[in-house]
Amino acid sequence: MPPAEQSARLIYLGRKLGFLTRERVFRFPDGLEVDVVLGAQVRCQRVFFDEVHLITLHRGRGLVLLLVAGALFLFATAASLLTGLIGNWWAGAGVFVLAGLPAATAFVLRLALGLDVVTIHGRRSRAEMHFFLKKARAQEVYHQICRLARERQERVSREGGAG
Amino acid sequence: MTTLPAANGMEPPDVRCPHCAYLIERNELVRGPNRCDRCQRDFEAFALEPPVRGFRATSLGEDPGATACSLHSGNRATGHCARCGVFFCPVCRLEADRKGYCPACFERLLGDEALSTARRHYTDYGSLGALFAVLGLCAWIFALALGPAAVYYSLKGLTQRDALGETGTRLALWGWLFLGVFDFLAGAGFLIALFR
Repeated sequence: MPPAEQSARLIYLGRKLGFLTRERVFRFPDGLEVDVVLGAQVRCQRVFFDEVHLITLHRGRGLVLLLVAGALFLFATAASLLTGLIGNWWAGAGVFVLAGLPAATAFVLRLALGLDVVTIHGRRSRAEMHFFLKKARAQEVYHQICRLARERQERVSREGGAG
Repeated sequence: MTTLPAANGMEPPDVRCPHCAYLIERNELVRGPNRCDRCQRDFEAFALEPPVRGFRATSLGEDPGATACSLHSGNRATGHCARCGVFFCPVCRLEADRKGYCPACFERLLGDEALSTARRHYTDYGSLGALFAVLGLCAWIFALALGPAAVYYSLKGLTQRDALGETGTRLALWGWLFLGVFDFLAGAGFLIALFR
């Protein structure tokens, strides 16, 4: 563990972006802290390693980004065609390059690469992290949490369940 | 020695496919690659059996050197509260921030949001910095006020992340801070151009 991590109480692992909320997941010595950000207010939830019963890693598509990028691409294409038909094809091309092309790139990249999702199921709570481009990081986080949860539960079992 | 029933000794919750939420038998799950019977999509799984927690309290007995728990007079104390020093047995020991507290002190500290590993909500100043920076970008007429606000809250956000001991979430805050500076300069330029 690097010296900077030794002094840190919360070590950032990953995040999940939703429509209205985003969640940041941190590791602390006894478990994971999920900070659910709603505007400027943050609600904290925790998943303790000794309560984890399942950890999964799967590759999904991330429907939210696909829908938003697809809609933006269609809207930008329509807007650029309309601008071109009204009379200025250069302005139409500009609209397409600025809005349509990035949306199309995001859509194709998401379809091709997918979204790696690490989910940690506790008895009473759950943590979820999404990794788009950092596939190796998803694997690293998954294996790290598996190891920490297993070690913690083995220790609790050795101590006879006394916490 | 008395072992009290565990508070979380219930059956583990259902296991569902992460793709289609189809119910999977726990004993069908293997550690490593799995495939859902219904959607035929792959996922990795690592199933665990969380240990059942028990609290072992030892009775005081006839030992003259033993100290009784302040809440359970029949139980032998195994430690003392990190805040008020009262003796407690394993039944009433509550742990937070790697320290043991008695129930009364734990409740008090929880109410005061003084326990970092038990805090339930807080204000994220970094998000406020981002909000003001984006607003400043959209409304240049107000950017002279919104820019400094973005800088102030981004700096406060950076201090907050340090205080919380968070790692790895600072880059965006520096981005909002510089955007706040840009907002201010652009807003000033806009107003100068407007009134010249």
